[in-house]
Amino acid sequence: MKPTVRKWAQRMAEEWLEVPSTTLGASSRMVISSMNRAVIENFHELLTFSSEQMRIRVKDGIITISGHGLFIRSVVPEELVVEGAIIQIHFSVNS
Amino acid sequence: MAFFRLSEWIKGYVEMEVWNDPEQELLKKMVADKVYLWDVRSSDATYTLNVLLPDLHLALELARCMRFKLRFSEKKGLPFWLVHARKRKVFLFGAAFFVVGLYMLSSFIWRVEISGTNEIEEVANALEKLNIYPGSLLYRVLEQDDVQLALLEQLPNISWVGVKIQGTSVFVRIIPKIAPAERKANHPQNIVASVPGVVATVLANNGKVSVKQGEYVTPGTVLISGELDNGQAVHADGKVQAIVWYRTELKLPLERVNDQYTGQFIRHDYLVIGNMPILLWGFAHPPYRLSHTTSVDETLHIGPVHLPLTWRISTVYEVQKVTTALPSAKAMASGLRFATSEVMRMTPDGSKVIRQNILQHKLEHGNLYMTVWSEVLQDIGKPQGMPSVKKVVS
Repeated sequence: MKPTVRKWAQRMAEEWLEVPSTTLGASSRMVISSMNRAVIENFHELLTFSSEQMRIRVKDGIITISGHGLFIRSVVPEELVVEGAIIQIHFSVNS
Repeated sequence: MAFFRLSEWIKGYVEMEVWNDPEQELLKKMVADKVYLWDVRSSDATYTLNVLLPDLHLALELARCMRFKLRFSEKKGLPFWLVHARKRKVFLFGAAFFVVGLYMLSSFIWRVEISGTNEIEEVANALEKLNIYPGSLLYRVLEQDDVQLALLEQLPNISWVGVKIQGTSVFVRIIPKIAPAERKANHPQNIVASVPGVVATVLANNGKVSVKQGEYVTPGTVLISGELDNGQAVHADGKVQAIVWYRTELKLPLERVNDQYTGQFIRHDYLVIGNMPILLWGFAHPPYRLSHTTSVDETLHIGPVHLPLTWRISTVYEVQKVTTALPSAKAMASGLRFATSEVMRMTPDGSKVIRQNILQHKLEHGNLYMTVWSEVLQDIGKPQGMPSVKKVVS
């Protein structure tokens, strides 16, 4: 019951109030700036981490970031900041 | 450390290297536990991460369970600094002493600058009553505005005062009152002689001169008349110098008994608590028949705080009576000097003794009796209202 009410409220907010859907709760968001910094909001789990590649599980799938000298600038519960030379970002959607 | 944040520094943090963890279990577990981490870097066999000191126990527990090896490469922040400082007590004490010292020294007034007036002493005294003087404590001083008002009240002849307390300096700027011009008296009057004498010079500012040089005048003689020839009455004013004679009778003892120090003395040191002196040093009892005692008191104080203690150095000098006989020539010379000062006491300022004569002198019962005659040039003028006031013309 509750999730449906929530979904309905979310849809109403999106359509009528024109609030961007990413600001409302569970969906994750990724911001990439100048190819050396990626901020991932609402991530679920860190799967692997090395200076060449890291995999992060989000709600809808897995994000794979490849590059050189990658490192985690900071991790807080809502947000993961990756820095380094990013070469490729690959999304694999949950089937 | 690329960035520095105060909250992290206060909590304290460690940079640690994790060995023996190829699957990065520790990192994943900590991220899953929503621990704040930053600057996580991985290399071949290890990875490093920064964690706050309050979250460190989690890492330690995990490492112990899963047999990882941790190596702390950096420990930073206030908690570590405090532990470190505990080993350097003298340094810490020095730092505290410096801060306290600086605070204490800055709570004194070091400089008081008074400008805009020539009566600096007077202003400084008034300021001292308000606790403003070099060495006074700043917190005893009122607010600037209150000081200004109090100063205005205490010093009647200033029209404005600005007080600026700037750190440990106090600047006082004063604008003195300019006294209004005195109104000239214009009531009709004469200048008359106050004592008998022979007129030497007459300088009249206003009125008609009614005596000539060399004229003998008696008290009450009009010297400068306020009544002009045409019947007008004016405010006579001027200066009339005349030669006046004085007789002075003197009695001078020729033998004088003086106290003279013999050079022997005894020193006593007292500590005075309240009003009670306690003898601390110098217990010898003075064996002198005649003595004279002088005391020097010094109030003890720590900085500006006066203690109720006084250090008293009291010295007992031996004294003997010495009789000296004065030769009569010397006695006569000093007699003339006495006569001069006696005459000067009776005459107005600016008088001058022109001549002196010893009319008679005799020695009797060890005393010298003298009569001295002095000729003095002095101002004899004295204002006197006119008996019959006619019409005043200004």
